[in-house]
Amino acid sequence: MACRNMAAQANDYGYYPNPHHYDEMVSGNTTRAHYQEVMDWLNRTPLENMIRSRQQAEACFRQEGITFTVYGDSAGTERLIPFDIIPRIIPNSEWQLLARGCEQRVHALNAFLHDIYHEQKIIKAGVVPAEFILGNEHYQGVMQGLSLHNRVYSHIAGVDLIRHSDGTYYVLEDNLRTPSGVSYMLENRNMTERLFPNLVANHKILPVNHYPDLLKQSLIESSPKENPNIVILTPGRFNSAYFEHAFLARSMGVPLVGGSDLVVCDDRVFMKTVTGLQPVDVIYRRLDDAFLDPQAFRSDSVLGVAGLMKAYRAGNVVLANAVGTGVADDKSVYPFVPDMIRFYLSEEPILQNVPTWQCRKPADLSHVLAHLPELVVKETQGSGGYGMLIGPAATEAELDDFRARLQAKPHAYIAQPTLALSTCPTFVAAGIAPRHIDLRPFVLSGKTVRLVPGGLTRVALKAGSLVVNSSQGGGTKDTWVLAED
Amino acid sequence: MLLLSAAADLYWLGRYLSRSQQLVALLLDSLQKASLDDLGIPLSLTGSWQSYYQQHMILAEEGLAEFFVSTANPASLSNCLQAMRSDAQATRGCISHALWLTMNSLYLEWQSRLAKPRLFADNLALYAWLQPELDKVQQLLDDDLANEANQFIRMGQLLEEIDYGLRQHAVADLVAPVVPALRCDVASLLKEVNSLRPEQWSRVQQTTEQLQQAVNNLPEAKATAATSAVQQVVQQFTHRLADVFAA
Repeated sequence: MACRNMAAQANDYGYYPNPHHYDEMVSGNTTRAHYQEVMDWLNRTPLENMIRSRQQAEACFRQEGITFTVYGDSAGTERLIPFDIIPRIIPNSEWQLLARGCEQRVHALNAFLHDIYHEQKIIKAGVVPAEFILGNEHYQGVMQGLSLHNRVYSHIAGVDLIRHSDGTYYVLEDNLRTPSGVSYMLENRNMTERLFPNLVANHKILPVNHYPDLLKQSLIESSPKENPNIVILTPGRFNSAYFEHAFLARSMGVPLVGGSDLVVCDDRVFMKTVTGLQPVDVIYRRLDDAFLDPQAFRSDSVLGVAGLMKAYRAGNVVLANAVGTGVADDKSVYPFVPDMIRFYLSEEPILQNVPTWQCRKPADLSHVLAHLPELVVKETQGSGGYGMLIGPAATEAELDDFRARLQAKPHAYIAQPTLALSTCPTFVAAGIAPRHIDLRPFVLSGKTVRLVPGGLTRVALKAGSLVVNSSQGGGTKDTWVLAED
Repeated sequence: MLLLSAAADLYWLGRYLSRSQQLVALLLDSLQKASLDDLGIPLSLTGSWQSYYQQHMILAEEGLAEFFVSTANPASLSNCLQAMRSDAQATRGCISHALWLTMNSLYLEWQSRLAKPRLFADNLALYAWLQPELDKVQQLLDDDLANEANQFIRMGQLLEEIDYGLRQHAVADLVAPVVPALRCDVASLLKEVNSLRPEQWSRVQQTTEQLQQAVNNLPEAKATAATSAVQQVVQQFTHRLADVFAA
């Protein structure tokens, strides 16, 4: 099955996206203008060349050790995240809207976090019920009254976006704790430039390789100190995102530390080096709150640093992201983000939420139970695509199981309509085929808010699947934002 | 700024690299000569006679070649390379990108070759392939002496060579002029160790000086008691080093 004859008017081996879905490359029988060059390239590229390029990419990723640890994978601890060689392209004007929308959203979320850990005005105003915040598992009382530099809580945020069949982007969820994937965004670009330099040269693509510099600058700005010592705190090489931790540490030129590499003396943090103890001022931590400090949180944590919270509350170290940000990216708080934008910024949201039913509300629960086969149901505390139900793809047994779970713990779930995620040409076993995608831009907050153009495009590799998470077999694509439309 | 934990991983990376280099050279030599005495030398030097006879009925070149590939043998090349790669992975933020790529590629290719069915000739070919690949890793280290991370890799290599030299010296059947090489290695090790901050490394430095004295007093001719005494100082050195790494 060749890549040639891609146009829809050609033979049976063409590219046929579902007409009810928004396809990034074609609209009906017409190729979208910004994809014309790629369409032409696909049409003239022999299948064997595409196969060879994919094999080359896999070999490179494997040699580089760009791997991902899958929880519960009995076959082995390291796997490649599938990289699809066909880029996803975003016109400049679309990106401008997305960037403004993401900046606005993260700005409001940081304001929300500052507020709930101080005056709690949004609760007093009746915009967000108190129990959603104060009863939230991720709300951290230790943060109450603690002043953070620049009032920034989430220095690195990932905003998950999808495009619905009407062509509109929606925010699927916010990630304010330890969002991952940026290293794949960067490595995907390197790989595309290596495999298809001519194709890249024929497009004016905005660069992304300055992300580590922007990240470092944001981390420097997070500290009141002049030249702070920055480290990345990793749970270690068996963590699923270890490659990314090591990649960012190397890219920024900062040490990659484990909990046992740090020690707290007199409420100050030091790292143990071959030249003695060296002070640490900023910790870009890739550990969940619960594991950060065995004296403050889980006492059985061997990943964290005893006494870290004392140093933090004394203002002697910055944690990026701050403790307690999870309350703002909780799925039960997600429905209130547009209200936060109005409340804190006096603006209308640029990006819309996906309509959401909160199962803790009896009326919403009734609706969800009555329409379960049509809905996507998620755990409010879930992530990585685990613990969710995709109604249209579920068996009767799975639906029954979920009904029971919803009735037992309704507060633990939200539901959303099954959105028709947009599709993008993807090189699969059968040739070029449409597959569902999403987009995760990364938003950095220091003295100013910064984004690199694009982000990580994740793709569901199975036909018809909506699950894009790499932990469940999803892949990634290089994301191109064009310099001009 | 090199972390103590990273220094420990780098030191062990060096030890496993050196161990792999010595072992593959020894195996190629022993298997090519193929007398029973020669076949026994790798087992003597690695202390793995008992382990060998648990897996093979007789001492033969086919069995020996397979034994030092097998992951069931703790002293095998497979286990050395895996440990080396693990240490490289743990320190990939400190070592050069080229070094990481080379070591990771070596390990992946070894795994790939291991997965294929192998007879004696295939195992010999595996060793013959490995030797120059390890040389490539060594070349990268030799070309980047200024790198702080490489200093600890070198320390690990030097200690492994000293340990290996002492084991050679202890094996009665081996006729090898190892004492001069030992003295040279210890002098190099002392130079590396003395470049570290005494506030932190003084006990390691003192033990290295003791090691130098012991090796300088080692007779050229084999003497079991003297060799044993030096091996004990080597043990003390590794303990002092471990104490600093664990601080």
